[in-house]
Amino acid sequence: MGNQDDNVPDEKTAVEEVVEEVEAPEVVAHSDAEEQPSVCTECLFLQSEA
Amino acid sequence: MQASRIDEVPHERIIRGKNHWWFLGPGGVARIYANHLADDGTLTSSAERHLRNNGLFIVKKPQTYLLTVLTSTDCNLGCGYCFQNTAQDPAGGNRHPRITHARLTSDTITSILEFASRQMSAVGLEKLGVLLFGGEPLLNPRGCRELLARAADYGMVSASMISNGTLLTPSLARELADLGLRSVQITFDGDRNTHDQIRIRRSGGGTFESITKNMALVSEVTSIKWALRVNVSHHNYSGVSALIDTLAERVDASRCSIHFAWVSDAGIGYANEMRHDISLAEQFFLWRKRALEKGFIVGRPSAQIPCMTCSFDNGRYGAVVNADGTLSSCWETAGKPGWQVGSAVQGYLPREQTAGRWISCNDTPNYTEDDRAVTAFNDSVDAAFLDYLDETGRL
Repeated sequence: MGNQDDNVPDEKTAVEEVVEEVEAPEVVAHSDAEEQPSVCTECLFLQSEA
Repeated sequence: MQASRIDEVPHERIIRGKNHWWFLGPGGVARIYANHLADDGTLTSSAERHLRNNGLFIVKKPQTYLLTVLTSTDCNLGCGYCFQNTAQDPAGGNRHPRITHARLTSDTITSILEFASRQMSAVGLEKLGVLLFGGEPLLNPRGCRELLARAADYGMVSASMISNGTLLTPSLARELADLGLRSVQITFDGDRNTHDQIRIRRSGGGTFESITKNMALVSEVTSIKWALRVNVSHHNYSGVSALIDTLAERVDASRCSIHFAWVSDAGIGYANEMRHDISLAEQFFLWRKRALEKGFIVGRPSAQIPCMTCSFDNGRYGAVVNADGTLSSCWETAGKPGWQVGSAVQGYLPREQTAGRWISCNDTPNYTEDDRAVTAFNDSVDAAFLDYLDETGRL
């Protein structure tokens, strides 16, 4: 991990140096409805199980 | 800020990993590279089209109306940082003044379920999920039982509870499980010694032993799943690794999801002195990794998921109802004077009256740092964890 400023999405120079171009984005996982119990991504409180 | 419908809310995130970026959409996760990003950091049109064609922008419509009910506003614990404290204990002890006492009654349950039924009909939802909340919901076990039993006639498909765990006996847990309770969220505040200093009974005395013992016993007689929340502040962060190890010894980790939550400065007279810096982001990542290696369920970083109870106009997909039947937009304002947005009997007040009172989860954290630092921190933790999941074949 770099410093905080390295993590904002408008700074891509460093990554450009180490990764060759890939034609299309690589989908690695689809969202899984079975991922339970669900927790709000903001407050991390449990949301009632669907 | 609230939206009218779920597909109006932006969900996507683009975060930087070690060797590439990660795209997190409502439909899944993808690796993206430099040539997929425009100069402003957004996706190029061809990359976006590819991800859309693969379903990564698909927002699933909620299937369940999420009804959060405070069955009791009282609590048997006296945690100093609780957002429901209205002042610090003037005597310097653990009896902090709290939000006004209210206790769920049979008549109020009737009003709440009728209200939920009207709300569900309005948006075409037939399934109901109930979340028992407090205070400590189990200070009113009769109210919990009656609410779940009667909610079955209103389409309830499952129920969850946020509890401190000290009152969850095996017999009560079995009754609630038989009525539909599927998962319970319990909070820890560091390793045993620190937890016992922070998560303390109003009468004095720690709670770690009681909570973990109850969890183990309840797990023997029910199939309840546990959502463990570890609240992190400058008081306890040095003991979080030890907590993970101890919990793994005492509970069945495979039945527990675990989340590490920054304690925001919502409590009266309380301030978390931690700062969202990079060394702490590394620590949050290492806790997730350690928990995963100990067998806990650690959620894969995801796109932004709006809160079903507070992110939408007048509770489109869910509601928070206090034990006295008043409505609030969010758990944080429940039971607090001046923050009511309606009642179960009469429904929501007109929007022009509720606009200033409609607090949502992303409004509530009271950090002293700016949003950019908080976002960079969260992105850093999530990117490191995604890299780790990827490297270890877990994605």
